[in-house]
Amino acid sequence: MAACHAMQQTNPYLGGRYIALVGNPNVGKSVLFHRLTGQYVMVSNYPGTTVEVSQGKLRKMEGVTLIDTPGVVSFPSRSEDEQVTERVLFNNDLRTVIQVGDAKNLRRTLHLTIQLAEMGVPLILALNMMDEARMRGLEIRTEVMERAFGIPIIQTVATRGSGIAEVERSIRSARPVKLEIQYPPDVEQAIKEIEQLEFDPPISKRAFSLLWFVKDAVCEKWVEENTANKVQDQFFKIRNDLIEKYPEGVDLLIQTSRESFIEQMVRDSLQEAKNSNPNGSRLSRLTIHPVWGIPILLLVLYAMYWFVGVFGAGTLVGLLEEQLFGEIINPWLIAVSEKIIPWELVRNFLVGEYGLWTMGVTYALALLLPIVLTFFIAFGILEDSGYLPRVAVLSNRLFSTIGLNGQAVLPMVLGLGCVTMATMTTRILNNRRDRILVTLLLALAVPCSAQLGVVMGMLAAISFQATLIWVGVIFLVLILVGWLAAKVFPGERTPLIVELPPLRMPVFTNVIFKTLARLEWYIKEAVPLFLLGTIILFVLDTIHLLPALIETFKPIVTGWLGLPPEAASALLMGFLRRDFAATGFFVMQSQGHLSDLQALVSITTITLFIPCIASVFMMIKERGWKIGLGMVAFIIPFSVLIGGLLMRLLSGFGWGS
Amino acid sequence: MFHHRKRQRCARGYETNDHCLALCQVVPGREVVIRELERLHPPFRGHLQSYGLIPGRCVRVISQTPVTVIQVEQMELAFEKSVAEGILVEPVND
Repeated sequence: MAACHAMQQTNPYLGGRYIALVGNPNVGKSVLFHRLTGQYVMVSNYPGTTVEVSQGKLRKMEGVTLIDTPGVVSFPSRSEDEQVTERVLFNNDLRTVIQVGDAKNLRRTLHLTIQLAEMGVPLILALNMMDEARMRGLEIRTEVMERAFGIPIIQTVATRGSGIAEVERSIRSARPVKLEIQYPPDVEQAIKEIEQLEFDPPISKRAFSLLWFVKDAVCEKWVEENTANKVQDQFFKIRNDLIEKYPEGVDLLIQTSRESFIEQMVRDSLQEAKNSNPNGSRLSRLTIHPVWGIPILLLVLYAMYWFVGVFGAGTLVGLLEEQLFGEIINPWLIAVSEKIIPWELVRNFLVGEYGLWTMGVTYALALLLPIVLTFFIAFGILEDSGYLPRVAVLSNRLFSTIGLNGQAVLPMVLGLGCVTMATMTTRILNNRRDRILVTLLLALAVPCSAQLGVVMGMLAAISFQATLIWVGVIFLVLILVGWLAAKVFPGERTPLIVELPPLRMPVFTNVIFKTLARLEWYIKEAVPLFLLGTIILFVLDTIHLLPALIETFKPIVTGWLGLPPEAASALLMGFLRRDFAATGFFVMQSQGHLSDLQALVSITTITLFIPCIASVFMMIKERGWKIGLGMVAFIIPFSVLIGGLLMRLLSGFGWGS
Repeated sequence: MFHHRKRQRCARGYETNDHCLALCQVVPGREVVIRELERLHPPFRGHLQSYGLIPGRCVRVISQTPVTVIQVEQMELAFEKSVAEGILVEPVND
């Protein structure tokens, strides 16, 4: 106790450079984040992980960085996402933790508060969404809780900016907390034993022991890396002794103690109205209705298709590519370079057929950017509206046929925007098997927006029937490979367990911030690859290497796939990005070098091809060398195999002739 | 020991004696108290526990198709029937 007082006076956290925003999913962390940081946001990898977290400078405090962590239900962390949040909390450079809590769900909020308070860091609780809580007839008095936890609790409505100034003020005065809940004697005894061991954890020893008892992954890794073997043995012995005494689960034991503490607090602080229904609106019911849910889903998909496919890929691309770049910028640049650049080679390199500007930059900015931008806006709206978990419920049955659950729908839909980014998002899935399966299906059968734009254009030029065949083949492959892979990979299917947040009107600025962050990421990942691809094409073209390459791939391209030999160069580009290849086919089709059958076979093959170099890197980063490269080794021949089979099947029926 | 066995049988055989039944059998609109989650595979049990679903907690069943949806505090939680089958509850008498 004396040590605790000393700690409060000196506050070892004062020198910390980071403040972390922590909270359950869907409680408005990101909105509060933008309120506290203003405009400037960096999205970057969190040290030691591949997870992207938003970081920003606090408006009211010099030299302090605010970290927006992935939502966490409670500890022990269950997904890779939650582990990142825990690693942030294990960071020694932490100054304060701001917990963002949902005022409507006080018990659940306080459960996390207990865990954070036990860690001993300076803590503030922003009780957010007070407006929604009041609307449901909940009345909350914070004084009792403030005293019990010894932390400032501020009622906020982040979307309207209320309470933000108080949060900013409390950051300065936050002090390390000391909260001790009484656990059953055996647990207390085990905590004492751990506390006597020789180790220096990044959080309080008490909180650390409790995490250790429930086999928290981040905590276990820390012990493995930071303690001597002898100490480790004692760690395990203490835990095993405890588990032996409580075979029904130490986690339940600890949680029950916490819940009774919470129950006491809630009795004094919360007035609940009887019979309030959470997502009361009819629409909310209908979105997961077994019958009405489907037309609503189709309507949402159609709206998304209209916004991204018609408005983005059609109107915007038309304006930018054909009019702005095609008629104004590029002709002007070509004219200027002909005047000032005397060397033809350099001129070709910049503005020629495979020019860095005329192909690479034009393609990246005029063709892809509008599609990707509109997709990310649409996805951001869907995400913030709370509709996506409902799609998970609706699609659960479909995904269960391929050994997954409805949660897989989120990375799959995001994959329609960018497969690389979606591969990263697979870490929201709760087990390794699901993550591997979804990664494979994403790489194989989910076309990204860049490619979809081109593919849709090509299909429109053939016929609606061709579109149906393309969709049918991709869908069949998805189900078939998914089904087979689920049989091959060991492990059981995880049933769906998902929270359904209330349907809300998305906050405009939040969607824009999110879109900009994703766009920045996309530009950094993709644009350099376009430029590299253009340069490779230019070099191959200049040194006349293309004919030789075409000759090499002739048996596959003409023999098996039935395409004209020049298609080899396009297919080759597919190794860099498959939409590059698709664009190549697009050009061939518009010049009349591809028949309808050939066009359909070529786009089906390239849709099933590996997405892009960046996605391969991401697969390796996320799933490891063996699995990542194994998938690539499967996907390339498999896509060509399907392409050839489709060609034989369709020409057997006399299609397209 | 006997008590324990009796409860298990209740969940497996869907008998309504001893006032307990599996969550998947509860009619939408009813409030129930969670009694037991032990039949669930530990990771799933842990997942539900983290949302506050522990013995003694009162929840309301909102729907049973296409999945089970329950209300815990002001939050809705959806899960498959296979999960709901493993949760033993006792109806609250109005």
